[in-house]
Order: sequence, then C-alpha cells, then structure tokens
Amino acid sequence: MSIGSSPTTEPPALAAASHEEAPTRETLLALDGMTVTFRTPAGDRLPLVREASFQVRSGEIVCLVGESGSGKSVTARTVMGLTQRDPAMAVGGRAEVLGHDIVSDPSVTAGLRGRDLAMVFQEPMSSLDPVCTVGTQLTEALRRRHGKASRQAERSRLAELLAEVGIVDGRRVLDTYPHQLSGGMCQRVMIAQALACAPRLLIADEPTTALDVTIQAQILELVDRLRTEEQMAVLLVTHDMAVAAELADRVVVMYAGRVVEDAAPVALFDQQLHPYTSGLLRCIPPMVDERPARLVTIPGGVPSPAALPTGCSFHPRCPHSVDLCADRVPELADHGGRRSACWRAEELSR
Amino acid sequence: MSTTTTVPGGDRAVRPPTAPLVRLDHVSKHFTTKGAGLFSRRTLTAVDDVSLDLPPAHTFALVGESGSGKSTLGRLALRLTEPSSGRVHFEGRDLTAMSPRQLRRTRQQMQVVFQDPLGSLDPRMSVADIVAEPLRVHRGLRGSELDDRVAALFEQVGLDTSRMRQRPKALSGGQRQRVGIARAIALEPRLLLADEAVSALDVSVQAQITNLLAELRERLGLTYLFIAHGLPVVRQIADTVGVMYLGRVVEQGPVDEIFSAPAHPYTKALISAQPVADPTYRRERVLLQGEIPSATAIPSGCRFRTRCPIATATCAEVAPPRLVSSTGHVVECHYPLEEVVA
Ligand SMILES: Nc1ncnc2c1ncn2[C@@H]1O[C@H](COP(=O)(O)OP(=O)(O)OP(=O)(O)O)[C@@H](O)[C@H]1O
Ligand SMILES: Nc1ncnc2c1ncn2[C@@H]1O[C@H](COP(=O)(O)OP(=O)(O)OP(=O)(O)O)[C@@H](O)[C@H]1O
Ligand code: SF4
Ligand SMILES: [Mg+2]
Ligand SMILES: [Mg+2]
Repeated sequence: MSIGSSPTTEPPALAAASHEEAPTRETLLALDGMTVTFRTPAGDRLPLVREASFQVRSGEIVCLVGESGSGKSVTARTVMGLTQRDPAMAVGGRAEVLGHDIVSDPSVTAGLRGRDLAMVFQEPMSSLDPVCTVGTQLTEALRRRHGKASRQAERSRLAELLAEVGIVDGRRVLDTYPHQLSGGMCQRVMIAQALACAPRLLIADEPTTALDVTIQAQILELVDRLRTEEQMAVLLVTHDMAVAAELADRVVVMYAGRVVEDAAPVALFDQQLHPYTSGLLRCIPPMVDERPARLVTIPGGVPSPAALPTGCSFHPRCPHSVDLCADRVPELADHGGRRSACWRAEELSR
Repeated sequence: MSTTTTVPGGDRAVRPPTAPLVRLDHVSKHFTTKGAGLFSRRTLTAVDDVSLDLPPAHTFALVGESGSGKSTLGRLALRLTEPSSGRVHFEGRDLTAMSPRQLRRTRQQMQVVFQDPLGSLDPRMSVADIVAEPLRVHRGLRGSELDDRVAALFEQVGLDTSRMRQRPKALSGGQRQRVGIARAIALEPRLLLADEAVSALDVSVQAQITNLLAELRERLGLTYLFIAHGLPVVRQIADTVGVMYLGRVVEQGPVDEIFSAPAHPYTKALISAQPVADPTYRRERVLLQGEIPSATAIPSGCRFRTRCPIATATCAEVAPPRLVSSTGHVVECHYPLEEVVA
C-alpha cells in the first residue's frame, strides 16, 4: 500500500479537519511509524523520534508542537533528508515526501529541495551563504522555479517578496551580505528564499521564534495566504500553542520523541485527550481571561532520550497516571477523528 | 479615585503609595556608531529623554520591539550604563553623582537576572559556589554560616540541595535560571532587573519561574524591572507596563488598562499581533507595515508615524504631547485611542 502521494478521499482520521469544502487534497507528507535513532560514541542507541505517524496534505498547515527536546527538529530534518547525512543516525519505519520514499532513499530529497520542497531552519544563517549577496542567493532560488528572466523583473519580484516578509527597503537589502544583517533580518531573508521557489510543501522549523510579534504576524499572514491561494502544504514546527491555535488545520503534539496527541485545533483546545497537552495549555498565561494568582505548572522537565521513563514517557509528571502507565507504552489510538497516546484518554474525554 | 485599586489575580497596588525606589529623570543614552564611510560617525539614540518612577514592591515591565531600548533603559536604571544626560535616583539618592565606592555599596541593592543563565554563570564553578560568591565577597561569610545561607537560598528558589556540587552545564535551563535568581537575591537586594529572564524557557518552565518571581516579590518585598518580549507573561506578572518605541516610553500605565484599553496606536498594534491560545478567539488585527526604523534616523514629529495607521500631517511635524490620566496612564500621541485627560 502506498501511504502518500496519490489523491486521496478524506481518510476517517482527517474528516474533522477545518476545511470541509476542500477539494480532494493530495497527501504531500506521510509519516507512518517513522523512527530516528542516534548511536552514541559509546554504542548506545538513543531513540530521538519514536514511531511518528501523521500526514500533511495540500492546502493544509499542520503544526508540530512540544517543548524543547521533544524531537520536532529531528522530525523536520529527517523529512528533508538531512538527518540521514549523519552516519550515527538511523531512520526506520515509513516516510513519504511528495510521493517519494525517503527512508529507503533519502537522496531523492536533494532533487526536490528548492523546487517542490523547501525548508526554513531554526538557526538563522544556516541556509545562507556568507560570501554571496542576498540578491544573488534569492535570484538563484527564484530561477530554480521560474527560470531566468530580465534582471529588472527579477529584482522587482525579489523586492516584492522581501516586502512580504516585512523588509521595506528590499532593494538595498538585495545588495548586502548576510553578516551585515541582524539575526531577525537573516531569518526573514531565509523565509523569502524558501518561498521564492513557490514550494508545494514547506517545512518551517520555528520560523518566527526569533522575531518580534509584529513581524511574526506579517509572516504568518503570508504563510496563511499561500496555503489558501496556492494550496501550499506546511509543516510548521513551533513551541507556541498560540501560533498553532491561530494557524493550524491540525495540531500534532510531541513529547519525548513520540506523537502523543493529534487533533484539529478547535477540538484540541476545547478538550484534550492527553494530560501533557492539557498541561501545556494550562501553563500559558491568559491574554484575555482573568489572570490567575499563580500559573498552573507541570512539575519536572522533559526527559532526555538517554533516560526515558518506562511505559508512558509522561507518567512521572502526569497527574492522572496509574500503575499501567509505568508498565506499558500506550499506542497512538484513534478517538473519533482525533488521536491520543494515553491509557486514560477515554476516561478523560468523559 | 482611591490611591490603591485591587485587580483580579492578587491585590497588587496600582498607584505608587510612597516615594519611588528608582527615579529616572530625563535620562538619555546615545551611542556613536560607524557609518558607511571610513571616517563617518553616526549618533544612535538608544534612550531618548525618559522620565519614570519605579515604586517599591512593584513590578514595572518594559515591552517593545527588538532595538527599542529596553535593555539600555534597564541598564541605565542600575547605572550599569552611564547616561549621556539626565539623572538616576535610587532611594532618593543620585546614583549618577556617587563615588565609585558608594556606588559599589549601593549596587548590592540592585541585581540582575539575564536571559541566558549559562552565559552568565561561571562554567567552572559549582552552583553552590556561584550562589555563595557574593556572600563571601560582600558579607564576608565563611564556613557553616555560609553553607547554611546558601542552603536556605537553594530552598527559597526551589532547587534541590543535592544539586549544589554540580556545574551549571549539568542543569536544565529552568534550574540554571533558579541558580541565577538565588545568586541575585543572596545579598537581599531591593531591586531586581530581569532582562528577558523567562523568555528562552519552555512554557512549563516559564510558568514555574514566573511563579517563583511573584512569590519572591511578595516574600521579600522586591521591586522588579521586568523586560520581556512575550506579552502574556508581562500581563501575568506586571503591575505597570511601559511600552517603548525607538528609545521612548510612548505609553505607560496600569497593566489592565494597557491590555484592555491601549491608548497608543503602537500598543494596540503590538497587542493585536500577539497570537492568542484560543482558536475561537476573533480580534481586529492591526498589521503594522515594515519594521522599526533605525535608531540613527528617528522620524520627525511622532517617531511612530512612519508605521502608524492613523498618522496625519501633524504627526510628521509636531512631537506629540505627553498626556497623563488620574490613574497614572501616560500616552504620547496626537490622537489617543482612549480618552486620557491631559
Ligand atoms: N545531531 C544530534 N545528535 C544527537 N542527538 C541529537 C541530535 N540532534 C538532536 N538530538 C537530540 O534529540 C532530541 C530531540 O531534539 P530536537 O532538536 O528534535 O528537539 P526539538 O523538539 O526541536 O527542541 P527545540 O524546541 O529545543 O528546538 C534532543 O534530546 C536532542 O538532544
Ligand atoms: N553598546 C552599544 N553600542 C552601540 N549601540 C548600541 C549598544 N547597545 C545598544 N545599542 C543600540 O541601541 C538600541 C537599543 O538597544 P537595546 O539593546 O536597548 O534594545 P532592546 O529593546 O533591549 O532590544 P532587544 O529586544 O533586541 O533586546 C539599538 O539600536 C541597539 O543597536
Ligand atoms: S498514559 Fe498514564 S501517565 Fe501517560 S499521559 Fe495517560 S494517564 Fe498520564
Ligand atoms: Mg528544534
Ligand atoms: Mg534587550
């Protein structure tokens, strides 16, 4: 069975997605039990991503959320075929990107990158070449998709693109080198570079975390528009639940390398079927409602892949854990159009 | 209105009841930077003629976009940066006129917690030694007296004393931030500058540290100058909010007024740009165009007018008046969105 690429009718797990009038959507990213392990110099195998399963379809924004160290970036980089360059990393399970199996042949991503597939990285600078001007690099990205045009036309298209990511003096910025720009500016140039090739699938790892909320709002609005108008598919990695609330068609919550919950935002924020998701939402200070005297917190911190708790990885921090939780790993199970990996999901939903 | 008002979520004094702990009096800071040419110099205005009071046992938060001058203003308030002009008073005494000796003594009353705990803690020292250092240097504590005090500080910030011998690197981000806070409160300061102290932390850890700061403020009567990008955490912890734009505090007031009825168009835009963790929440979003202009070329008239959605010709020519309400709400705008009586 192919897990991706072919136009699909609404699979039951996705029926609750928010775009109901949507035409048949193409599955552009499909993970099915994808696993990433890292072999330490001492020979231990650390599970960084454990059996991740979710899909991203055209015209859809899927937000991958979770705290630091939960495996979001490793997931994103594996999809791009980048993790696999490290000989200490091993990828298993199934993963298809734009219809290509990237587990058996990660090199196919090289041919897709910069055309149908683009990525914005978490670290600014990591995809910019320090010795080329911003203009040269963006022109290259533009030509990969649209071919060569007149210099005049290319420059005005690029200035337009820079304006869309909040850079008003785009023509000046085209003639600068990355090191002459601030971190926030580089981040936006990287976003413009990723969008210059009009990708069908965009993987964006914390694209706006380093930016001011005013600039973030401009960029998220642009991504939202490209999703709606160009049917761009987006995997947006973020630790910010509020960003997911505003933008996502689906929210995938990761904890300690596993997907623990997956649901449409309205359903998810209304009722959580995993105690970790509840914890994440409750510790955010409210922007509108009355302030609590003290914030709710989740005790402790995210475990390291080298010292994962037995059973459900969340059990030492979980207010609902029972004996079973420490013994056996809960499966990511379907609960009427949404998924949760918690032994007590049924009870919690009542 | 009465001098104090209670707000939901705790009874925090909204109006300064007594003399300010810190008073900034027309403080400015200019930097000279390299221009485009080899010998060209340009003057950058990081803080532009700011006057404000920090009442004791109060949390004053500074918000604003990157480069608006928040950190510089924070450093000026502790005289960690020399003002180009203006005066800074601490407990009524002029910090800017103090001898280095007096300043050193007064500094013990003012401490800082930074964003990156790892960058600000000595990697070779154990965390117990890091917390003990100011007590040894300034208080001359030794032996069991010192150990007891350090253990008490660990307890106060919720750090397990079994971690005392560990290096900062072995600790999580939240634990390191607790070490930074323990060290900062070791000398029982009156003022704590928290510059993005919770900004880099995960939400669950951010909530833990925010609670800790609120608890310490109540227990020790601390005054905070709290700098943060994130508006939700500011709404949670602040009594008063100052909104900075290109070196000036363009709006300032009680936290609830700032968030529910912002009077400056910039404040309104900033708040409306903040995502809200509720997918059913609908708001009128004011999208600002472009970014904050360079601090070397501050626009004439109102400095916000190049991005302001309601700017007129007047805004380009005349600097806006400073309007002050009876609740202590201050706004610098020709066309404030909310009524503020001059
Ligand atoms: N190249 C690598 N070698 C070894 N371990 C790694 C490598 N990259 C990541 N890890 C580990 O994998 C786990 C997941 O890391 P990842 O970067 O995916 O987290 P994340 O969810 O993106 O967190 P953050 O929000 O901090 O970016 C972490 O424990 C991390 O230390
Ligand atoms: N030592 C310095 N030399 C030259 N310019 C400086 C110096 N320190 C700050 N500036 C400039 O002063 C202005 C205000 O900077 P400041 O760091 O106070 O802003 P901020 O509001 O804290 O920004 P951020 O949110 O990025 O921390 C900026 O234009 C900055 O580039
Ligand atoms: S499986 Fe058990 S420990 Fe894990 S989240 Fe559910 S109740 Fe908590
Ligand atoms: Mg990451
Ligand atoms: Mg700063």
